[in-house]
Amino acid sequence: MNQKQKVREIIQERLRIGKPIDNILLSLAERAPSTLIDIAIGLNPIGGEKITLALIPLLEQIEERIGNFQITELQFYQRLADNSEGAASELLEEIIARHYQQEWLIDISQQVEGLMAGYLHLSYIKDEDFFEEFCCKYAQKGMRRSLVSLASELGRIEPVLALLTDGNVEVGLEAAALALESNPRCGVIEHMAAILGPDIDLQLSSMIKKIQDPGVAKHIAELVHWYPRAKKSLQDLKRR
Amino acid sequence: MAIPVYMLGKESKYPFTGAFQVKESNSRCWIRASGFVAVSSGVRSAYLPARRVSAVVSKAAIAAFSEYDRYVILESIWEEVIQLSPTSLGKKGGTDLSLVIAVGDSKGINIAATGISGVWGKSAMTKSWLPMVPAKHPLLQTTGIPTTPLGSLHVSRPPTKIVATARSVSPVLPKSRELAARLGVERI
Repeated sequence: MNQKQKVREIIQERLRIGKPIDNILLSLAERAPSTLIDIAIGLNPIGGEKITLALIPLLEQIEERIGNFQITELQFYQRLADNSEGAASELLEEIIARHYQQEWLIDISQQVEGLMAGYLHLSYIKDEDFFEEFCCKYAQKGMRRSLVSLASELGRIEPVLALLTDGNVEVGLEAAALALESNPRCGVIEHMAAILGPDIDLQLSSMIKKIQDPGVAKHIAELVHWYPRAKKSLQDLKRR
Repeated sequence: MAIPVYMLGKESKYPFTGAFQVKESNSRCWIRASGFVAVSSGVRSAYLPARRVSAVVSKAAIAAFSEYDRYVILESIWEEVIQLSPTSLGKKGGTDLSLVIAVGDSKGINIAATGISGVWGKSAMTKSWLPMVPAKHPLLQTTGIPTTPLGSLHVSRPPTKIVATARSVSPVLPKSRELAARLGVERI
């Protein structure tokens, strides 16, 4: 049994009996990074939630070394996420915190979050200048659910505009309705006109029909009354 | 049959900021208008000015339709546009208005405009875009909201489509695909 195998067995045994492995991993990160990377993402990784959680504090050290192993950060994290089970979301949060400007986060987000890809990343960068740019990138990848959720939670127009610009009009209108419910003065109607063109009666009407909260009506009446169908939909909303 | 009329604005992330369009018709005549106002006020501040211009043009046209006279309809529209309050038209008070109007009936069409740098018609015969007026034509000389009703150009053989370029845009039409994209239509 070589040294690597011995270390592997020790770690597996400690995991089995519920003892901490942090110190062993730290020691490996400092003295034998190749063993640590092999354990994390090698051909036969140990895998599992506990080892991922124990690796998270060591990611900086690991990243410094992975260049020597001819793998990219994305490849490393994709492989690690594959074997992380219940800790994949926590791992993703840590990756986002470390690399929130990197475009490859989209790939790892898709892997970990599935249909909600982008939710954690976009939430993290919501106050950054490049929030809108990443909204568009996720929209281009077809990640609509996360954008709809964020439009609703943040009451922001960027997820809506990303969807509309990408041609996802129906989903974009759903997101617009939710953004308005959350923040009736978010400016989504003005931006719809600026993106889709001035003849937005049909889209506006369709969006208003998706609004559940009649209280929104008074905030958007001045913007809507120019469009006959939308005006009628707004009256219906008020009567609800 | 009514001829589509478009206004080409500046390329931007929000290409239809301050854009408006009017389409009205009755059994004998029709009007199509297109334009921009208050673009530099920004997406949010340009929205209402654009709606106001659009509503005024639309209302004036409908009210004048009973005259069955293209010249009278155009004059009625300009009289209403002139009365728009500058304070309701964005931070430039309507001096940045770009508006092209075509009014038509069975005898031809009349085109009037303010704040444009060029106007083209798509030839029914050759399918190519041809300038409807030379560079220094009076149709291209007015800017913003006029002080008196403007004259118009009578076109006895109308093109199939009309595109004007806003004054802020150099008077050159891009190729068809780009033109369609910038006008927000599938094909032009």
